[in-house]
Amino acid sequence: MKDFKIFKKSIFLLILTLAGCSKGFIQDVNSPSRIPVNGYYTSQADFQAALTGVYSTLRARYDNFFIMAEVPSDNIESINGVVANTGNLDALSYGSTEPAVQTAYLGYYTTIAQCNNFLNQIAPFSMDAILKARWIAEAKFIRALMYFDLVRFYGNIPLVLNPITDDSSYTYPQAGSAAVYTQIIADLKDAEPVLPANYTASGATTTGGSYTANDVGRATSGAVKGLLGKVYLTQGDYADAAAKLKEIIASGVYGYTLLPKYSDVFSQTNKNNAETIFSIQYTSGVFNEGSNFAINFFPPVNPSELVNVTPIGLGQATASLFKTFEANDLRTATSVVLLSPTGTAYYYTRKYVEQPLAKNQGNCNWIILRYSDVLLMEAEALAQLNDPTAISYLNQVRTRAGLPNKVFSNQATLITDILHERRVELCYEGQRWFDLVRTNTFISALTTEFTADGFTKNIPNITAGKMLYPIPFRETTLNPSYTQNPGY
Amino acid sequence: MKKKPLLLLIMRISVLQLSLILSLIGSAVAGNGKAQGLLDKKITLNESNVKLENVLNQIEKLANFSFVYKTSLTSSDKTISIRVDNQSLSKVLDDVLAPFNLNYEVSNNYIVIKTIEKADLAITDIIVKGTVTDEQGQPLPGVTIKVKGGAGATSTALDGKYTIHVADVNSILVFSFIGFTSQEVNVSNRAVVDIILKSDTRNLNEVVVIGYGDQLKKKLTNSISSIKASDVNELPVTNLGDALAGKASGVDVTSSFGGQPGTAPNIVIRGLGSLGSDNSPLYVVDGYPLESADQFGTINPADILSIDILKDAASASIYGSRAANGVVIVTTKRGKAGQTKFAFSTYTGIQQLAHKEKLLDSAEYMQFEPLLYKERKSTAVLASPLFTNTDWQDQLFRKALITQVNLSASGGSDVVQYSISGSYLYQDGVEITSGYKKYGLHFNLDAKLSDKLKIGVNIAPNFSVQNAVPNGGNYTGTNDATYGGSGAVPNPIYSALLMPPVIPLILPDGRYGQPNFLTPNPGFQSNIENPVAVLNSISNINSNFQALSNAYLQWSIFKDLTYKLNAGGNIAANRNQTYVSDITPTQTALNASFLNPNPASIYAGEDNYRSLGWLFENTLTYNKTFKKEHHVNVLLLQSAQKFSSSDDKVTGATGTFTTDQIHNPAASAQQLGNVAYDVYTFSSLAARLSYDYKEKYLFSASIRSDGSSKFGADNRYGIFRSISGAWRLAEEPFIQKINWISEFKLRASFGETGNANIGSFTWLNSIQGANYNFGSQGSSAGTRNFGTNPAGYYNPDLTWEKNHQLDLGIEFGVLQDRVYLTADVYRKITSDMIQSKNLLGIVGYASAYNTNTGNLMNKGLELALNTVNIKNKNLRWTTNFNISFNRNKVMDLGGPDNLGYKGAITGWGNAFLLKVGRPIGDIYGFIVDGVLKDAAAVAAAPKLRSGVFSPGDMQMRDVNGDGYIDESDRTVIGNALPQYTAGMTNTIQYKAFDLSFVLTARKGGNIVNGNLRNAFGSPGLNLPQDFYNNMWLSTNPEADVKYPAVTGNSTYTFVNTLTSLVVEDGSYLRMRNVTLGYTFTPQILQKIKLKSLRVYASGQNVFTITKYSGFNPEVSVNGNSVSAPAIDQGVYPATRTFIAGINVGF
Repeated sequence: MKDFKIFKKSIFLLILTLAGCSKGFIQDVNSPSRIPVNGYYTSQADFQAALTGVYSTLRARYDNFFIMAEVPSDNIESINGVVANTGNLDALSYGSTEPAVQTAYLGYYTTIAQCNNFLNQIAPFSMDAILKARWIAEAKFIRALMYFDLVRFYGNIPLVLNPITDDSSYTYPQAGSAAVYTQIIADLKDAEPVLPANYTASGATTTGGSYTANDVGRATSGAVKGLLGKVYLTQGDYADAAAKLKEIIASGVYGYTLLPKYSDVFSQTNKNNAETIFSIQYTSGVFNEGSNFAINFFPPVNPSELVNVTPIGLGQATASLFKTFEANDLRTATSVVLLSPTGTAYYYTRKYVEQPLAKNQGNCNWIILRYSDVLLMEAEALAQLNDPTAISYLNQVRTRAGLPNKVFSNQATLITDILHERRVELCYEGQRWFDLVRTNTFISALTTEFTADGFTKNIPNITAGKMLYPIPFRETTLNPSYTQNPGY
Repeated sequence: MKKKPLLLLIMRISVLQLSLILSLIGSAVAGNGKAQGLLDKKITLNESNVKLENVLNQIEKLANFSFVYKTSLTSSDKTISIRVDNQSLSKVLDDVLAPFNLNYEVSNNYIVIKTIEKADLAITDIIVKGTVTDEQGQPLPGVTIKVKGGAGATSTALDGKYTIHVADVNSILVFSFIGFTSQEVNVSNRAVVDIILKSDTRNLNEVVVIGYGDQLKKKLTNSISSIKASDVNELPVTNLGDALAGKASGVDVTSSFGGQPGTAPNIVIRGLGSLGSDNSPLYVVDGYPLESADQFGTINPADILSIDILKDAASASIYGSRAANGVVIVTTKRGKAGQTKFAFSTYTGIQQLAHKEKLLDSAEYMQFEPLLYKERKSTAVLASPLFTNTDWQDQLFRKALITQVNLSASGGSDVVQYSISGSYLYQDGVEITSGYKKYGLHFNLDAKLSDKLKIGVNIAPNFSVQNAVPNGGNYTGTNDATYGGSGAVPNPIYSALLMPPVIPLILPDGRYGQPNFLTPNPGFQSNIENPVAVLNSISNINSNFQALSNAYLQWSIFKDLTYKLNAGGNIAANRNQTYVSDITPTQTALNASFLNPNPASIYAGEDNYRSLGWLFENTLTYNKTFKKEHHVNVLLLQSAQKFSSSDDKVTGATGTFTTDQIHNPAASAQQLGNVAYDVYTFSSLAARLSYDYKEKYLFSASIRSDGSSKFGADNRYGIFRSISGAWRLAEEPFIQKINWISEFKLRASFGETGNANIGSFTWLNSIQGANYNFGSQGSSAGTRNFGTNPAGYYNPDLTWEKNHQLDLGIEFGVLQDRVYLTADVYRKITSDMIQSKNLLGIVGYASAYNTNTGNLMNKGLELALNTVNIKNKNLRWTTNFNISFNRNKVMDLGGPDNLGYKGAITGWGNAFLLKVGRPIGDIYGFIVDGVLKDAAAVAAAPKLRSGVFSPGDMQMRDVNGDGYIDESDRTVIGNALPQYTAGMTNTIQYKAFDLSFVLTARKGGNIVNGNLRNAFGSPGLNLPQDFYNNMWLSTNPEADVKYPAVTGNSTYTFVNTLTSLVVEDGSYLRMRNVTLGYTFTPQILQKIKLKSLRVYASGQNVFTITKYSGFNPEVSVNGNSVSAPAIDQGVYPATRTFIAGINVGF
């Protein structure tokens, strides 16, 4: 019976101990690797990091921007028409289930959610007021940029300005595109007076309302004005567009200029140059912060410009783009070249020439806004207002390209010339689809393209509906109250 | 004098006496009826100062006869001296016995010595001996022999021999042994009683492990399937899970990843019960609940004693929050007291591809390609002098060796018993370069410290090395993320099916042939790589160490109250080494070959995972019978378990490798790392009460409270209850009158269980690193700014999903259970399901999150029928048949009508949809009614919203009748889940031969055959003959064909539209195993000095009858995924195995 007493005692102690620590044993276990969002934002440094995080999401937005912004135009096509990611868009045969269309939609709202979270979290936080205002302005610029892409691609979209943390998302309504434009303009107007004009201030980056060289890549007031000009132009508000863009051209503070050599604009060793107004920053190296443009745009028959990787050939240039360049256009060698091994013609761009070691390790930036775009937009706005001074802006761009000046004959010709100039100047920069849709030349241009390209069968049904992308099937399934765009 | 129990008398007989008696009794009996005469026999004896016992011994020797007496009578220390010369035995006995107050009596054939005072006492000790054998004549050790109504008992020795004392020559002996029918035999004056025990068809006395205890099968109130060692020990399977296929009703085992060596099958009990979390059952090995289902498979089948599967919630409920998918309890073999037994077993054999796909050969292909190109208005394939006829399946698959060796020893004394076994498995895969090796050790020890204290230890380390190959996915990139991310290397299996047969395996310059190496490339799909080149230049090695150990201390506090402490630990260390070389052709290095190595595409990764789990459990069990009628069993349990793991992975940065000379990340100048951690705890209290009245009315109830750190901060505790009862009508007098009914039991149970298979802290959102570069200007690189992003969706209410299951069962046995039927119906409602619910894009932080919502119902019927078809001296044939029907229905998804579409494979998106009111596994797509043969057919057909149909396009059904083909015409074109599954095991023993075969079958269950996607509709790839013979051609448009033209140009082409054309019926009947064995007879064994010897030959997956055109109808590229099941694309094929083996005992 001696052993019984010992065991009785030990069992009693054991159960008592276990019962005592049981609550802590369950409740006090925390994740060894997760930092909860709630309660994270407690210092100015946290918000600085959060704003960097907002910018970081932009890389993914523009990696494959061309798939929607240029493949379904007359500039870029899918090689052999069969490449999985771009074939349907090239043939205008995509539907609401097209993966690229869905990925882009979700991506834009991811960045918007990061902006909304940032704006929401920083609002009640007390810190350096000037810096806080600047950070808020940067986030609003990015949000406006996202909504501008979204509304142009998808039209009737939900307008979300606050973080969504509950089931209200399942019934959240679509907003009319007018309401979205109103918000875009409001955000940009909020940001315009706050953001610094350039990166020339001295001192540390975090102490005030000006940018130093360390801030290159952040949104400037020039970027805001340029984007605002494009918004007005897209809306057909030519007077406001001309005025706003003029502020960039006329003002001395921005220092934007056309680089003498066209290829320098895109060079991965000449990033954020004087012609660039806003661009997405990609960095080579192993941390997946690089770009993929060289691999995407080089044809699968290796032109030996890439040595480490085999290009994918997601988008080759159309023959019509190659042929539309005027003779002696200095831009051609950079914009579109012909590679024809064994009789097959591959047109490809050399704008993004580099030799990345692997996928997503390219160093080339993606330019959102640059000075020649501003000049051509100004020309277009003025032309639409029937202002003959428009032609001088067009000719600035042509001069750099080594082409003779255009002479004003009539408004329609001028507008056509400007649009053509935009096509050759800005090809492979994600502008063409928007330009065609904005100027309502989408159907005619695509019809010409498909006829000229030797299609004898199944010319796609080029309809006005294709001037908007469908709301992804995934979204209309989750919220059946969504209205689908016409034609899908 | 009080009559002493016979048992005690026997114990007093010394060993010497016993042996004397044994040797003499034969002659005593031989002199039947001559005992009286014997008394007249003359003997001569001369002894002085000896004990009575010695004198009697001497007399026995001289007279060649033996006495019967109680040892107590002769144990006196008093000595005598005697000298007789040629005296009669009667005289001598009188002289010798008188001083001891004894005399003798002739009773029947014996001379019985007894005390004079009790001369009339009837007690006599009669010794009976004999041998017990089974029907094959093999001696049976350990058989219990009791005297009916008396107090004697013994058991047979290793040679099957026994000796027992009886009080009466007409005593009845009861022979009983587990697994054999008990026999009662009247001694009828015999001294030697040899018995043949017949193996038992009745299984009521089987013991079933029920979780924290065991129970007689007849007293079960739950639905539990038991699988015995003999069912799994000798199957040529590398994973224990595969051995369970077809063995138990309600247990569905599918080798969804085919025959890849070392890869576990899926095991699902009673249907998919969860939409968002894992559907694997809980595995409990020797009392230790495993943290990972994978670890179950590594147990060596030869170490298994039994596997008990708790299917209904009432039985599983004692495991609370982890038992929703059922519980599989594994009990391993332990040592038994007795002489050391050695067992050696080995088998070796050959595996081969079970099914080869019918593709075009070179000649057919050369006819097909010009047709194809004509349709595409493009250039035809040019003939090339290089063209040959390569059967890519033959190049990729081979005949492969499998061999296994086991050696074990077990034994011990009454105090300490031990068992130790070692095993080695070697398996080459049928796909080149794949293979598996496993080394296992299993040791256990039980020791009795005192009458009340017992301790034991169990240690089972094993080590395995798997050479894995890419399994599943597209030819452009496997799903297998091990090789530096999804899609980094091609899937060789799918490539082999698509590679044009005209391309040579090896080109004249020594490179492996593939389209982009042919100049000029005559129009083949240029991005398909040579699968042999891929496999021979990559490696993926999984080294796996695991040691499951536990120890217990058991203390019988009182006779009926037992305390047990069970403490265990589970250490696992897994290492994955992956290498993709500079000559591996991949999508990013199509030109790589030994002539053109591409160091930039080298990938080397090393992933080390370590985990530690521990378990600490205390149980108190009270087991008592009151008034011989009321049986009560009470269990109290306290349990705590903790698991933690860390995972670190190092890779060399892509593009930084310059050499192929070493195959690990050290070859890179820039190594990148990743770490991941996990931790969770469980703390539980539980109680169970079982009660029965006369084994007739049975009742059980349990309750368990679980807490776990896995769940949302607000919701970490749960209570799980169960109640069950049974009525054994067989014990009722009115049934007992019916002789042929041997068992009749009605059962009902209801229980709650939980599912916690969700990962840790998935309820939490988190801050993640998100960097961006600022300050880059010109060639200045700028500065990486370290930023953060919120990610994930916060849900602090996340908790386990709950299961409520009602089970009604009937068990019915007739003719001594020669026919035994078990039938169960169940209804399982899963509520508060843990689901990955799609979020609308506008939420932004996550596209889906884990939440508890909705209800799912599974209901089913299970039948198991065990029959002994033939049982006679030479032949015994038994059949176990089971069939399981399960239906499920999504009742509620907590708001939305569905969870959003999930894709099948690249290109075939929006294929699966979980929808309220529908079962799991619905496959959505377009119904194809044929081919639009001509312009008239196109004109008559529904239109496209955008684009137009052309002749040769698929004639798609306008399901909603609006005149257009669009997404709203997507409809259910199949269901991935079967209507029923069935298994049948037949065992036939004829004399020394045994034959068994296992059939498994499935009815229904559609498969999305992704192997067809690129074959058809992409130019320059090989395709199945069925397509070639049945496709639309512009040259013969009116032909009656099944498949469209290869040129589809509409929105809905073959490659980007999932249609009914590629959703196939997955029904099958499979001969999963057939084994023929021969067991050597004892006569031969004695000559070769072995205890047992069996040789056998066995075939695994001998044949499969199915309409499915792919390699294996059990396929699922996503494992037991609920959201996207039953998809085939480049999955390792099923293999057929033939082995020969030998088992030796010595």
